[in-house]
Amino acid sequence: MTIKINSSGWSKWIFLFILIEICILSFLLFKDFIFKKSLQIQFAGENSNWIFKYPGLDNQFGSEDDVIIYKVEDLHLPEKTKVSMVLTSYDKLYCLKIPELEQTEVAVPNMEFKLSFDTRKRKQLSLIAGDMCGPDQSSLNRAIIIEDEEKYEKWLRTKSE
Amino acid sequence: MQKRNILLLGIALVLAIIIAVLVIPRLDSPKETDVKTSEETEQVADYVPPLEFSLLPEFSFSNLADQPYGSGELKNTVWLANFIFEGEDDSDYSILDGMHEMANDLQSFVTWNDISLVSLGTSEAFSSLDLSKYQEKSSTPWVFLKGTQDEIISLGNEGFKFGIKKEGTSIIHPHKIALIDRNMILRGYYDPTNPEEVKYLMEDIRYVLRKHPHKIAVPEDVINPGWLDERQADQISALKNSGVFHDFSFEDRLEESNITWRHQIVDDSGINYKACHYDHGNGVVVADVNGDNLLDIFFLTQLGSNQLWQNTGDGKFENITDLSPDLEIRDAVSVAASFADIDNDGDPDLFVTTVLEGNRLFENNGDGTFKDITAASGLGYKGHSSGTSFFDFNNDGLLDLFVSNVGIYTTGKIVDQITDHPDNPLQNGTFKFHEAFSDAFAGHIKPERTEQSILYRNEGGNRFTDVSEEMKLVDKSWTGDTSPCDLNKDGWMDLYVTNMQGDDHYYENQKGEYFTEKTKEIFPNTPWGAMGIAIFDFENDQNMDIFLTDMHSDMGNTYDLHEEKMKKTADYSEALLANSSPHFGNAFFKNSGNGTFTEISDVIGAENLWPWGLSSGDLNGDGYEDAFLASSMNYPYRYGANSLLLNEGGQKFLDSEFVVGVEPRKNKETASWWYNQDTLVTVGDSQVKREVWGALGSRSSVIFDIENDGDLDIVTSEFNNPPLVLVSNLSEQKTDLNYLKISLEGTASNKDGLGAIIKIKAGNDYFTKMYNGKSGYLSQSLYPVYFGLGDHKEVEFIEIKWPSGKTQTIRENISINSEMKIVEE
Repeated sequence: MTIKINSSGWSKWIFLFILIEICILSFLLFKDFIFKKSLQIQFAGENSNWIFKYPGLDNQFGSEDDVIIYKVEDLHLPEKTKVSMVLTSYDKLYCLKIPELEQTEVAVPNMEFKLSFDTRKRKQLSLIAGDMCGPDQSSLNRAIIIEDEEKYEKWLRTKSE
Repeated sequence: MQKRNILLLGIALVLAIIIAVLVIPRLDSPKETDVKTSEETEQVADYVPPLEFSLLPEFSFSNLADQPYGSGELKNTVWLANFIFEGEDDSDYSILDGMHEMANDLQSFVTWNDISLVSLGTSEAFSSLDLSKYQEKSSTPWVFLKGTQDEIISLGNEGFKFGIKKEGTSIIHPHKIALIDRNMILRGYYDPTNPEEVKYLMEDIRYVLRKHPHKIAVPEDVINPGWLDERQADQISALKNSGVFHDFSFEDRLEESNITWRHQIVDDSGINYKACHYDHGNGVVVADVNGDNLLDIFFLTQLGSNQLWQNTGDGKFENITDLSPDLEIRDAVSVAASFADIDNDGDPDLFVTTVLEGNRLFENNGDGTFKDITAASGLGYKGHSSGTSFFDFNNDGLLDLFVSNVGIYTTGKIVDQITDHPDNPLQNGTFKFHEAFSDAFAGHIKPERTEQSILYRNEGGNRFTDVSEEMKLVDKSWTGDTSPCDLNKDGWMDLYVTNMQGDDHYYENQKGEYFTEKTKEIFPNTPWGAMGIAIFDFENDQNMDIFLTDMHSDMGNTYDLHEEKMKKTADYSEALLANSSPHFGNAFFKNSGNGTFTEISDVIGAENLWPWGLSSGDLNGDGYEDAFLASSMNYPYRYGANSLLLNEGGQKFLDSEFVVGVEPRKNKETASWWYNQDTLVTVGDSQVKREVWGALGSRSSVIFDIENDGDLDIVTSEFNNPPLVLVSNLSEQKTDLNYLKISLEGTASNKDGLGAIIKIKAGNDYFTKMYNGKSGYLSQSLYPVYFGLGDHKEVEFIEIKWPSGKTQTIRENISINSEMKIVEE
């Protein structure tokens, strides 16, 4: 069977069509690479502060390299990662939001709630405490820095030392 | 041609792969955002606060009117002082002129009038100067204090460290102004003729108005918030162009009323603040307990004694609690109360809810004294009870009762608390309360904390039976209060149950046989955090509308001043909303008359900030029901003004609290002492405890005619403070005030007539009210129903639809501007 294409206009259309097809296929192919990582972080409210727990470089909780952050400081997350933040509280009710993602959640003693998002297309996010936690809870507010794997691991190493 | 196409296809494939490799990762590249790191957001303060030089000794001199005046009068005031001696040159004038100039500048930012100018000197010095020009023109209070030369020099040297010297007949002293803070501490010296020093002085005044070495304001601007004047100007301007009558005012006459009662809170709302249901405070209720035709007040507290104050006329009250000591309930935290004649013997009995220590029923002995009859009544439920509503759900002539139970918000631990309020010695003591959960406002998502509310049937003989299941009224919401209402006009009282953590519930009464929940059909979207409820006819169309306040939505976001009147947009998670389908903020459900309601709160101006209770009444006598919203969240949040909404012809509510004297409060107060920290701070040579001050705030209110002068007054239940006794001068200001008060006495119906619908026709207007006694948040009172009649001087008829089903119409012997008693026939 022979396909006859007599004008250069057809060629352009085919070119474009294939290009789009390839782009879609490539995206689907690359998607697995882009999202190949996932990360769970646990955090809890206590005394109007957050306690964050990272699984460390081995991505396993309960191992020696787990990182616990008590201090009020910026958090770091690796880029292109599916992040699941598991949230609880050791004392009162906390309300928080991530305005960039339009997500809100509560931290409640003896209960766990999840905030899930991916870090693709993001460089920074922020955790903002709601008024339910009290009128001035700036100590609960955090900036989340999203950076490449290398920088993130470097940061994680400094925290586990 | 074919080969060429294959070539093109190959090129396309290669290009596509290149593009895919190059472009797609770029799609993933992050965007810049405006979020700053915590390091970047840190700010460096460049202002150096004034030092604490010394604590001034106590002193007393005379003012120009020869009245004693001194440190006592200046306590809690920020003041500026200078010294004047006789025989001085023009420099004395230059100090006074400098002070005078500053006084005008001070007006630009001092909004709480607790700053004073003080000149200390001898009589001779003052008599040689023309002081009138300073007193007349200065808009800041300026006090001239006279003493002997030695007294003044002594204070100047010992207190102010001025180094004043006598040299022959002349006196040498620095021509400076001293700044003294609220704690009588000298904070600095300034030359009023030096612009640079005046600039520093202004900054320092601003600082000491908000900061105190041992008085900590939480939040920082709660004492001098700086927006009251602006709000007042805005409201005056807005009302000027309206048609609503507002040429009258309220005055807080607490002192004149002789009421010395003060509300006291548990530490869970004070030093150990936690967001929990104790911050809902208490109700305040009225009834004529002793049959003298004057309405008496019962105040409730968390700690200390509840108190019954007898109205003795002319706006005065007398504490008669010692005649009924059981009413004090010092062994429990009281919450809400209802006056109702449970045995139809013609006097108001009283029911009080408590937190876990058993609700209490008191029978009136007929003379205004009460005895506790809880034990035999069946009403002694021990739980987290809140608001209560007496209503006759089966129309048998006996008042039944619905008790709202919030939910389990306490841990089971009992805490001791010693109260030591400096202004409240009689109420101080050691008390116990049940410690609250720190996550109390998540209680509704923990099923194990559910506590069902209770419907009791009055069986006669002062005995009640729980018939919740039997009547299919099983409500497990986190409810604080309810309002009985006959919304479908079938003659059977329905029940609207407010829910402070989720959707409200509406139960329709099926001819007294059972209730059917009809929330979704009639109110598909209710407020999420409803508190107060008032049911009245907003536009005089003979249909009952519903106004609900919603406080908990206001805790979902921080709202700026300009956002107070807007619809709220609380950022609550799905988990917290727990399958509710709310709207946020207050709700005003306009009754269309065909069984449907439309929510129009922001359209008619019914929104405000941090409202708790809600009371309605025709405060300006124009025939349209107005509303008072007891508001403000107290410590540790900013001050929120109480709202007084005047109804403009049934079209909209106009904010009027700053126009009619409800706000600002007396002396522009916005904060009060909250607790003392344990730590000591050094002030001068002494050590003192840090005082923490928090915002003032109301929880409930009752609108009634205190002095029987024909207008409606307002008494509030304040949180951790004495009540406001806001007395109206409408009857004096509005010469053509027309009103009618109607008191009901049921015969076939319950004696109080609760549940009756009263309709008045005057001219072409109808005025309709449903009398359910719900006078405010956590409160049910018994009082004559007040109708403002606008311009109408004659009433054509009064129609009463009694709970018994009877309709009674009165056409004769109706005298306006009086109270009319109508007995059911």
